[in-house]
Amino acid sequence: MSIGKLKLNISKNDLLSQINLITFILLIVVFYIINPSFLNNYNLKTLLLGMAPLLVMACGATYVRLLGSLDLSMGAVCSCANVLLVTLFPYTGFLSYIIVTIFGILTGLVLGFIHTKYKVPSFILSLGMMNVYSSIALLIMRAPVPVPKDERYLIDWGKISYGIFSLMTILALIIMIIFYFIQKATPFGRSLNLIGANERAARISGVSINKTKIIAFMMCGMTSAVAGMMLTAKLKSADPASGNAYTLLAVASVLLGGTSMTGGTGSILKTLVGVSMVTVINNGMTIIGVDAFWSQIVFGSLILLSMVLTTDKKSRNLVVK
Amino acid sequence: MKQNYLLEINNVSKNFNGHPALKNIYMNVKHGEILGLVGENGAGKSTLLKIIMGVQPASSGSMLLNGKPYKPQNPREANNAGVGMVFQEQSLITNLTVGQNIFLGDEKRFMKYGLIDYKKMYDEARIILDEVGLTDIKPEKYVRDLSFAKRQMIEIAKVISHAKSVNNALILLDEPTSVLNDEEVKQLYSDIRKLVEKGHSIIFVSHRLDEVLEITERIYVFKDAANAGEFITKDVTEKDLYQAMVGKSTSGEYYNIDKQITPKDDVVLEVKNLSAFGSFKNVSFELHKGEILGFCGVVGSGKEDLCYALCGDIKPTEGKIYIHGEEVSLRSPSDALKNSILLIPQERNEEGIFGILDVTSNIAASNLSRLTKYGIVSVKKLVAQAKEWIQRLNIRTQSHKTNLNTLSGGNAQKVVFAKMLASNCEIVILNHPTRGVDVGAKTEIYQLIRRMAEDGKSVILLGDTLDECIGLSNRVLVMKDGFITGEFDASVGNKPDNLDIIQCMM
Amino acid sequence: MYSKNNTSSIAEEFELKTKKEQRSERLSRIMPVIILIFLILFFSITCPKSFPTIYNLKTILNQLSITLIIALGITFVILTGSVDLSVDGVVALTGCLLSVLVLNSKYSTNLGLLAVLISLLVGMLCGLVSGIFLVKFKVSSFMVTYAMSAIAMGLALMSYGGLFATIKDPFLLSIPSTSLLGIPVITWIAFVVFVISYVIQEKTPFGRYMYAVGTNEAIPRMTGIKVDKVKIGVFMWSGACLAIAGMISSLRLGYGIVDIGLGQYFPAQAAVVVGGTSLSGGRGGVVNTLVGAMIITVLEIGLLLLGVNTYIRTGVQGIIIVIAVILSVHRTDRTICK
Repeated sequence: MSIGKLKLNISKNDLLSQINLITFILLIVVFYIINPSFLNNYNLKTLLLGMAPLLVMACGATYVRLLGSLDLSMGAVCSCANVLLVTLFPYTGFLSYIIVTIFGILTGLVLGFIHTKYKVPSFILSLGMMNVYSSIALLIMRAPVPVPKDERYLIDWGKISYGIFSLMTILALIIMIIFYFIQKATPFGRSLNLIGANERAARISGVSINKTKIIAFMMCGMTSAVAGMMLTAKLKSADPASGNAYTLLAVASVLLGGTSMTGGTGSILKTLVGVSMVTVINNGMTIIGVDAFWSQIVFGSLILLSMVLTTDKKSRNLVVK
Repeated sequence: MKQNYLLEINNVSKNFNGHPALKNIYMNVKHGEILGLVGENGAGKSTLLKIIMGVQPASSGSMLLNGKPYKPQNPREANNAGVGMVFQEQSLITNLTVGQNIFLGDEKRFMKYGLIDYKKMYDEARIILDEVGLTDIKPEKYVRDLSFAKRQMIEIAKVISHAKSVNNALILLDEPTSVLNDEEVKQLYSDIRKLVEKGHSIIFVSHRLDEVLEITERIYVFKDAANAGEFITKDVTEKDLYQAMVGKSTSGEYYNIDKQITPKDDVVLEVKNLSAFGSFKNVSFELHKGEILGFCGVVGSGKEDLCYALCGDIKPTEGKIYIHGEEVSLRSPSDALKNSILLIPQERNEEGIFGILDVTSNIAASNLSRLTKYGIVSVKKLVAQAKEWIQRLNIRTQSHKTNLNTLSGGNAQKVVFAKMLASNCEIVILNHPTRGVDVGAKTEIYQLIRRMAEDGKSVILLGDTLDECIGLSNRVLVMKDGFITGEFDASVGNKPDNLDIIQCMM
Repeated sequence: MYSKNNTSSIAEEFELKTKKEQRSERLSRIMPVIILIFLILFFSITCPKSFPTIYNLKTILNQLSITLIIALGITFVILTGSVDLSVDGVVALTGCLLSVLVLNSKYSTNLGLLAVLISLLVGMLCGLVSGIFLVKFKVSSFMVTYAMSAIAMGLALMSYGGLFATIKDPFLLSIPSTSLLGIPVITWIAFVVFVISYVIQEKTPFGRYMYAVGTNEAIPRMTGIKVDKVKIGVFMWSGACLAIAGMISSLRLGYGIVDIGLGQYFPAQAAVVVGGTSLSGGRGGVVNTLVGAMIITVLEIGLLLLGVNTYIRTGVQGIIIVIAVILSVHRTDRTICK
């Protein structure tokens, strides 16, 4: 337990953050060189707009990851929210947004409840629920359908923008700031770090483990739903598979940002960096004309890489399954 | 007359981070002998067994097995040399058969065309089982279908099988009878005797002195990590053993006995007939305001689980808990905290601190809701809180932003105390509060505990040593095998003798 | 001051606890068979004309095969306490790889049976990589295999880049439609995989070590067993099974596309869990998985015959997995799960 050895420990986590920042800048430079239109106003606006749903989803995902868990149903809830919103439009107008948000919260409640009461590992539980929500989305709408003209006014807000910043992007940033604030300055938010750092110690210290976990999952469900609603405004249509690809991207964003396996070390701000990286990589690959399948390969590899870089040295003695 | 010993231990010492767990130990085991090893918790028995088994190396000294140098690097090497151990925790794989467990890792001997020849394996298992007296157990039976006691015997059989190639096996038994009933204990005795007749030797570690006196031929006593006596069993009584086990009482000043206060009459906590299935039973006591109530008992006496039950971690199966006269149901430690009860746990790293978080977060862990106003917790307040306690408890750390895993044991423990003090809870359960703490910090912690009682807190204390428990407490309760077996007044000037307490413990 | 009676009580309580656990163990072992029999009866009664027929039996056997092969693959991984989420990706990758390595419409390769070997090795390679990340870099298995699935999917897409390759190799194409003694060859393959997995599980040291590692890693480590090798080994076995399933899938289809992998994980995982193999490891086995696969397939086909919407059927599978895990996890308030 010498001080020397542990200085290394601390800086390893920050190492990832530093690598990220450098890589981020490098990527922008490289993409710009290959295709200068990468940094023009139009592309920047597209970039920032594209970032919005992912950023929102990644905020909720960060909370879950801080606990040490995983919610693989995010994308499915997102798709479901998208489809549900458009279906509700003719009946409940603007109120639909609130209803769908509640739907998202409820999906999180289900996850959190089963996870804490029955001790079902989050990955398999959320995988199972992903199946359920995918099915629901497909049952509601079998194929993509554009938002009918009569209801266009409900998604017109998606068109508003101030220079390169769309209203949607600003909304996402506001949500991110709120999530950051909650994490740093509420008992719930600080408990997330405690549980992730050492759940057993958190329990003994009197932290309400179950309550905190359920709330975290509820917030994750909510952000998935909000992301889905943003997609509706962005794509101007209902697509039962619209959100599915986002799960991988959200998980990659959180991990790349540096919020690691061991929880405790991680925050919403780090996720912002992660989301930026993922968006830039995605967008950049499209701009320079790389084929779509590279996206999966790249992000899968990045996830692996970030996990290796953030492995806590102390976990050498820990049994990893 | 130089005797030919099976095992010789010469001047073995073991240090953990400068903290001595064994000091210059000498021991020898004859062929075909049952040797007893007794001593208090922390006297060094388990440490020595682990060294003999190769689980950890000695810091200095040497061992001889059958006259040849013996320094096992891992349990496998110990096994190959003919040394086996039955640990207190079971080590059988429940979903494998008896035979498969016995020969786990050794299957090469039974391979036929690349597959395991079970007939051959079970035939050999049959022989070993018979040797241990388990004639009614079929080797094809799955371990999950067997009783706990039978599993214990199979652990012994497993150890024997490794020693087959050696004429004289050395078998280490660590608390083998803790979960056996009278009949099963008798069966164990007869099995042990049969083994010894065949030429094997046994080291029998137990806190049940009556059993040790019945089955062994010679007894070693350890005290404070060192030899404290070697006796021929037939020449010695329980009282003699107690005498040898008990340490020289540390001076009262060490525990600030002059600062010990008389507790008030208010009953802060009352426990009636509390039981937890399989751990402790019918525990009843009262805790008064400003009182330090000590609990003594060996490992497995139930006192540790009692702590967990009182802090809400374990749900008791029977009995009631009353706080200030009102019955409470503690469904989780967060419930307990709301009722002003907090535990400072024994395993600091696993249960007490958040290693990768900083001092501020650690100290704040039990006090988040109290500092919350309109749903918000001010980070400034948390930092101020941390700075306050760093100063008050003299915690040696670079700053409030330092990670806990860089702090020394003593300072980390102070942080845990700070966490508890910040939460302002009334009833504190201290489970071995000075474990792994250097002498300087220990003194500070003793002073702290006295101040806590002065301030009106009520403390339940599980001391690291008997002396600590007696020295600090107003009253001492003794537990053995899940029951309370004794109560002693420990007010200033009337402190009980270590001897009396040990008699109730063992 | 105390009597010996006190000693017996705590020991007796312990014994009672053990007996109770034994009873629930025995029950959970019989449950899957009871459920299977119940389902067969249920569907025979509700679909008397379509369910209990020879034709349906053939359909069931056909559908069972691929799911069973995949399930057998991941059973070993789960027995050691890990999980393998790379199913979708590796199945797609190996299937697509086969389609471009044998005689096909897109490229000029014609490797025949060698292609089968290559695809098999690629599957095992994926497992090897997953195992190494788990063992050497201490990345938990669900993260590794989740990432691996994405990478493998991407590689699969890359292998045919856009327009898929139609398989033209006559021998290989004939396999899905051939029958031996009235039973399709594919079912025979599944049967052979089952027999091999059973032999490995029961009759080799490796098989026994899986249980040891899954129950409590520290114990086999102490005995000198190479736990790391066991862990890597189960992933390689899984990769091999996934490769077989992938190749069969693309042969059946006639061409290789990533879709052959999509959705393959669920029925297989459901089969394993429903059959009684515990996610925490050390409990269950391939026979359990066989029963579980039969349950899943019978349920799927039965619901199909009842006219239940296909999306609902998939959703049901998700719920089944959740219920099965709830029923099988042994938990207390103190249990920590992530």
